[in-house]
Parts: sequence; C-alpha cells; structure tokens
Amino acid sequence: MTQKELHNQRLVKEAQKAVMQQHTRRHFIKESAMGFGALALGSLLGGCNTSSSANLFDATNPLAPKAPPFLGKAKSVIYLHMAGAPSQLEMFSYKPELAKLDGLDCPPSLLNGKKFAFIRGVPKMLGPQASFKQYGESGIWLSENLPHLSTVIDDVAVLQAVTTDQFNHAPAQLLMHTGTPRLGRPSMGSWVTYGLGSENKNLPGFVVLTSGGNNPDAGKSVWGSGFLPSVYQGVQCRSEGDPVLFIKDPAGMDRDIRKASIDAINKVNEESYTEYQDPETLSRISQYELAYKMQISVPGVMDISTEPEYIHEMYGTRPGESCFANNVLLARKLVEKGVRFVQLFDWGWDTHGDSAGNAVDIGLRNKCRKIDRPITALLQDLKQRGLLDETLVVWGSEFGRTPMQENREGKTMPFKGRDHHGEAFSMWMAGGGIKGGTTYGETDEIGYNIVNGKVETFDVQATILNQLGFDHEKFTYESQGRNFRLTDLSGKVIHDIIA
Amino acid sequence: MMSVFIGRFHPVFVHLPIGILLFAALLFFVSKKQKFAAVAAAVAPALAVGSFFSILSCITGYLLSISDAYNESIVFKHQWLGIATAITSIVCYIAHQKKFKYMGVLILVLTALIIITGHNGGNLTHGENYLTASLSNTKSDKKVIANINEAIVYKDVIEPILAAKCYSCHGDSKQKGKLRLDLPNYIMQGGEEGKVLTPYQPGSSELINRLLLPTSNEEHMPPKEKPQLTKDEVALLHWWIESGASFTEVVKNTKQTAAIKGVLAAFSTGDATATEQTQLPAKKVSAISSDVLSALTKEGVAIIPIVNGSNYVRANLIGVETLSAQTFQLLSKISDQLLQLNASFTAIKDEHLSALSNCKQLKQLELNGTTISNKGLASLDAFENLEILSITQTKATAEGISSLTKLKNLKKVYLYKTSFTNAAIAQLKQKMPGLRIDTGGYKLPILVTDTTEAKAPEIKTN
Repeated sequence: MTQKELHNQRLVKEAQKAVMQQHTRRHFIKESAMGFGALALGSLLGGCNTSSSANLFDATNPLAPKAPPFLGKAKSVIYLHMAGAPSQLEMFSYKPELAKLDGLDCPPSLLNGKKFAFIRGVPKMLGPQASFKQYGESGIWLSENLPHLSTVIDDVAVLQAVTTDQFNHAPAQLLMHTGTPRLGRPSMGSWVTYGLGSENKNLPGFVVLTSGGNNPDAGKSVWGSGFLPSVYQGVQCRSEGDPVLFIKDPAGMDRDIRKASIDAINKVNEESYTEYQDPETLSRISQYELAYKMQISVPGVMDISTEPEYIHEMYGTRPGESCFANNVLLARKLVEKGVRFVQLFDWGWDTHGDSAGNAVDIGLRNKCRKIDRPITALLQDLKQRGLLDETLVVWGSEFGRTPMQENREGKTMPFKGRDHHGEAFSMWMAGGGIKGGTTYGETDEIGYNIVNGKVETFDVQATILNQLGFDHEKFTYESQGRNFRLTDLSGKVIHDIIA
Repeated sequence: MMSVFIGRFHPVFVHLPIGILLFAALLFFVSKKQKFAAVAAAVAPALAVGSFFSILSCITGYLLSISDAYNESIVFKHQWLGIATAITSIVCYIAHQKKFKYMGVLILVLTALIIITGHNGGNLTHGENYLTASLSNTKSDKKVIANINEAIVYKDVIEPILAAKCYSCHGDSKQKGKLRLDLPNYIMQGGEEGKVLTPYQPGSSELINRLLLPTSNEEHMPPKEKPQLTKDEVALLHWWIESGASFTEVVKNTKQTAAIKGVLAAFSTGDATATEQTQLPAKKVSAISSDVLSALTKEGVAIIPIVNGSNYVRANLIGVETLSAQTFQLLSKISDQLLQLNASFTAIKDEHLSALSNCKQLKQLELNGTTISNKGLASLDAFENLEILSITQTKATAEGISSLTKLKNLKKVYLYKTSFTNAAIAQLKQKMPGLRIDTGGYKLPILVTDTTEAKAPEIKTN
C-alpha cells in the first residue's frame, strides 16, 4: 500500500467514525420520539384543540407576521427606559407636604424594618427640588422640569403608584423587562416579537437603542430572548458610526461574493437539516438571509440625516452624535417601517447626590432637558403621521427615589440626592389605545407608600400585552417541561387607563 | 363538475358506516352472551354492508375535499383516518370469516377509529369548537334583543347575567351563604348576612359592593377562580338597582346614562362586545387560498392576519422590492379579506389604486410618503367602508376634498405635509362634521432650557 492509499484509507475511516459519533443515542431517541411517536399521537389528537399549549415557533420563517388572540389596539411599542431610576418627586409626583418637612429628621416609623441601598441611620427629609403646576384639560400636575411634555399631557396616562420589590438596578431592570429579577427569561420585546412576528421582513422585529454613555446595569439580558428561540432577541443598533457592528462588507468582499458565500453556507446548513432535522438549523438559515438583507435595509432606516431640518429641530437631535434625541427619532422611523418593538435605554438617572451630575437639582434637571423635547416631539410626530393610535409609548424606569436625602454611609452628601426607592414610583403610557389625560394610583403625602391604585411591574407588562391583543395569562411558551409567561404568576391589566 | 356533485353525497353516505359498523360491534359483543347467541349470524353481513359504505364514504369524501375549501390539516387527518377505518372494517370482516381469535380487539380498534374519524369530520363541518363551545360560557350565547327599549330590564338584561355568573353557587342546586339569586323573592330576601340589595341605592347594596372589591379580597364575588363579570355587566347591575331593582320595569322607562345606553345598544346587535369588535365586519369570509397567499408572499407583501379565528387580513407592502401592477392584481384577489392596507413609503402610483377598486372591505389605508395625488384620491370612492386614511407627505391638494367627502364612513384622516389649504380643511370639516382631521405640523417652542445646562440649583420650591 502506498503512502497515499494509506492516507486515503485513514481519511475514509475518520469520516465513518465522525458520522457514527454524530448519530448519538440522543439523536436516535429524539428522532424516534419526534418521528414515529409524535406522528401517531399527533394525528390521533389532531381533532382535539391542542394548539393552545403548542409553541408558535416556525423555524423556517420565525418572524412571519402572526395574528394576536384578540383585536389589539397597538401594532407596535416604543418603550423608553430611563436606566438608573429618575426621581418621581421632581417630575410627576406633586408632594407639597414634603416641602414642609425639608431638612427635618426622618421619623423612625418610615425607617423601621426597611432596607435601603445606601441610606444608613437617620436621614433628613428632602423637599421637592422643582415647582409643580397643573397642565392640560386633565389638570395633571407636572414639574417645571418637563415644560414640553406638559403641552401634550392630555395624551398621556400617568401611573403614580408603580411598585417593585427590587432595590438594585440590575435585578429591578430584569424584573421590569423579563418578569423575574434573575437572569434567563425572555424580555418583553422578545415575547412580543415571538407572538406577533414582524411586518418588515428586511428589518429585525425588536430593536434596542441605548444612550447616555452606558448600557443599563442588567446588561444585554434585559433585551435577551431567554428560552425563546434566539431569533427573537433584541438587535442593538447604534446611532453613531455603523448602525450595527460589522454591517459593512469587509474590504475586498463585494456584495456578490457575500451573497455567494451565504448561499454556500446555507446550502451546507440545508444538507445538515435534511440529515438531522434540527429546527434551529432552519432558524440559522433564515438568520443569515435576514443579516444579508439588513446590510442594505438597516443603514437606510438608521440614517437620520435624510430627515428634513424641521424634524431635527422638532426632536432637538444632534446628528453624528450618540444621544437620546437621535434614538427617539430613530424609534419613530423604525416603527414607521414596521418594526414591532423598539426599546430605548437612557443611562444616567441615578441621582444619589454624590456629584453635581447626580444631584436632583442639577444633574436630574439636565437629564430632563435632554428627554423632554424629543419625547414630546415623538408623541406629536406619531400623531401627525396617524401612528399614535397604533403605537404604544411607554416611559418608565426600574424604580423611583426616596423622599429622604441620601446619607451614604451615614455621612452628609456633597449634593442633594435621593436613594433607591421601590415602594412607589411613576411611569406613563400614551397612544396605542391608552386613555390620555388620566392618572392612576395615589401615594401618601410624601410619596413614600402607596395609598391606592397600586401597579406592579407585572401589571405594566399585562397591560402592554393586552394593548397588543394578548391575554397575558394565556400567552405562554413551553420550556423545560412547563409553560412560562412574561407575567409569571401575577399581573392584572390596568383597565382604568385603557380607552 | 360531476365529481363535485358526487362529492356532496358524502354527508349522506358517511352516516351509514358509522351506524352500521357500530351496530355490528354492538351485535358482536352482545352475541357473546348465551342468551343473545343467535344474533352472531348478523355480525358478518353488518360488517360487509358497513365496509361497503365506508369505501363509498371514502370516495365521496375525497371528491368533496378536492372541490371545497376546508381546513387542510384536519382534512388530511380525516381523510387518512377515514381510509384507515374502511381498511379496518374490511380486515374485520375477513378476520371474522376466518374466525380470528382476537376478534374483540379488532372490533374495539374499529370502534375507536369510527369515533375519532367522526369527531374530526364533525369539526370540519361545524368548526373546531362546536362540541365544547357550550361548556365554556363565553359571550357566545348572548341573545339578540331586537327592540331593547321594549325589553324588560330584569328578565331580558339582568337575569341572563345572574344566570351565567351567579346561579352555579346561588341557585337551585347550591345556595352558598344561604343566598339564592334565581328568583325575585329570593333575591330580595338575601342570604345569611342579610339583605344583598337596597333598591335605588347600589352603593349600599352588597350585591354590587362584592363585585367591586379587588379580586385578591376574600369577599370578592364571584370567587377569583370563577368567570368574572365584565365591566359592562357590573354597570348594568348597578343601573338596575339604581332605577329601583324592579322585576317588571321596561327599559324605556328607566334613566340611562350615555355609558348604559351604549351597553344596551350592543344587545340589539347580539354582540356583547360590540363596542370592541367594530374593527371587524360581521360577515365571515373564507381563508385566502394558499396559491394567492404564496404568490403575495413571494412578491414581498406581508399578509398579517388581524386576529386569531378570523380570515380578515392586513397587508403591508413595505417589503416589496419592485412594486408592479402584478402586485395589485394579486391584492385584488384578496378583496374579501383585505381590511387594512399599508403602502406607505412605497412606489405606489395613482393608477394602482384603481386596480384595487373591488376591495370593498378596506377600512384603513395608509399611503404616507408616496406620490399619490388627487388622481389617486379620485379612485378612493370605491372603498365605501374606509374609516382611516393616512395620506401625509403626498401630492394631494385642495381639489382632493371632493374625493374625501364621498367616503361616508371616514372617521379619521391624516393630512400632514399635503397641500390642503385652510379653506379646503374648513370645507371638509363642514361637510363631514364627525371626521377627525389631523393636519399635523405641530411645533415645539424653542426654550432656553432645551440647549442650556443647569450648573447650580435654581431653587424655587413651592
């Protein structure tokens, strides 16, 4: 036997061994269970309505548009999350009584049995660091920090008594967006994209935009897909530089070569699918195709420079930079192009009072100035395009802030700041079938505890799903042997704010 | 067309094998008893006749399935189960002739197949939930009251609510808390904690208060795991007590708020959720044929079903790469199902709209950012059900008004960045007073604070 023959023989043996190794016991059981067993059982049970528990995942076209279980008012969602927790007491929650207590020691009744992130010992009360007035026909109280929003407040429903049981940023953000403070569950945007698919086959169904210099503390898990197929996770885009990293073809690779290589990869994947019948392979194929299409479609839709000057002025954008206003304008463009869920995170609202930028009378004011104009412009722009009725806009954060001034480690802080406060904070919703000009919920006269109209994070999620046409209790996905849902075991739709 | 004619005999033939084969099974098992041993002789002919008709059913069934539109996946199962039934019945006959030892098992298999196939077939003709729908008491059995003003408040409006949501625990068979709500004298009598109702005073009537407690409260009724009353139902009970809780009063003699009037009006359409369902036409339509659907999808048109259980769709043209007359030809084929069309930011032209003139169901049309002009608007009058029209950033001008006023059902129109003059808008408002017109162009004032940064506290707390 020549050297070459020996070599070839070895190659053949290796190949045979590889094939045998690939066909494992697991594959055999899976194939027979899925193949024969499921076929027989499936056809017998076919007459009964078993579809309610089945997962709706079509691996060949995972983003195909799907019908909601009942008629929803909203087709898409723009969720504006202020990461770090803005102070409700300087924005939405008017507490004149708190001003009278400014500088006094906090009574022990408020401190007994409470845990704070940073407050130690007996802190001082801190009066509201902004003046309030009533606005609109609805007469909703708003602070001077939101002069633009006050002009459209009759389109907004303010939730004054949202509550969470988490007092640190990351778990609280996870609870708000995934329904649990721990890692591993799908985010709201993933659920919605899974349930409704996307109207635009050239764009992802769930886009995430961040501003403020940092990602939210919980990281990318707040837009992760958890146990849902990975195609439903949020696609993070950037408003500066390339909208998606590596979206351009590398030097020397033209569009035809790129197409040819993707076709070749998909062909191999198709062969692999015929052999192993793993649906994730089909998902992979469609992902490659989407990525190829996105190379053309995304730079177009993510380019705000094509917008007319008056739109830039309206939103207060700063083209070329990375800022919240640019992201808000992008959000409108994306929704207009059929993207289902646009999630904005703006970082830098953690006003502890440890620096001027984190002071409720300085830094918070500036943060408000950066969001007030673009958000108001968004509501008006959606309205004039006929999109506000079918786009649900949600503004909120992971928790609120204390009516006490923070005294980190028991020391006096250099600036006026407030500690994390989960018991009661404010959020708002607008458009998408929400009754504008309403407030729901009430806190005590210092904004510390809820008096009535308590809204849990699950209730917010249930309401968002309801506006899209889902019953949050029936919208489930089976994973590891049991059905999961976004709202876990709780959640009530807030009917009082629905038009 | 002969095949269609023959196929339609399927419903006639199909009941014969069901009856005959089940009867054969019955004879077979009964004949095991000494007393009825004589009937054993009838088993073989019954099986033979049953097999014959099961084959006939298979043939007619197949002809029917290719001629009419049915749910494909159920048809597939029904067809093969039907064939399996026919084969099994023949096998049964042969086995019976050969004195097969485990004949009982075969007969049981045959019986099971008949039941499953029959159930599948029933689902095909009556709908998948036909059998169990009556068990889940949803809104379905709401009865229509033609003239709600002449209806008796208690008997026609209140009693059905109590029957659906309360009788199971407070009725004839069970009286939780010693309370019965199924007859007027029991309602007035109350339960072990006293009266549940004070006429004219819903606020102090336990019957209402219990409904309004949060579901987490133990005292809340109905218990949280039971079907809850809808907001409208609570409002109706409240209205009934407020107007004196009479058992004989007629609707027209009561005081009605606007909200109650709306809820009552829904009775005359027979749809409890009429207020929510206005987006869907009452008429049921068939599903879009799979050929047309795949052709549209291939063109890049996204066909989005509006809601589960309905065949009405919304179409979005945003993904179409080259919009052509062919796209609109295909769209005109789904005219029965098309409720909403979004052609914003596409290359749609005026003449394309006239190709859609048969889309009578269209309720929402979005043409933002296109080159649509007055010429295109002129062909809108075909869309007699149109409710929402978005033509922002188009070439429409004041002359287009005459086309808009023809749309009698129009509720909202968006005209941002069009050349409609103020005079034209005023004219439109005058001609269509109920129409919501949004011309956009909202301006935000430039505030000093928009571009400046606070460096030190500007304190002026109140």
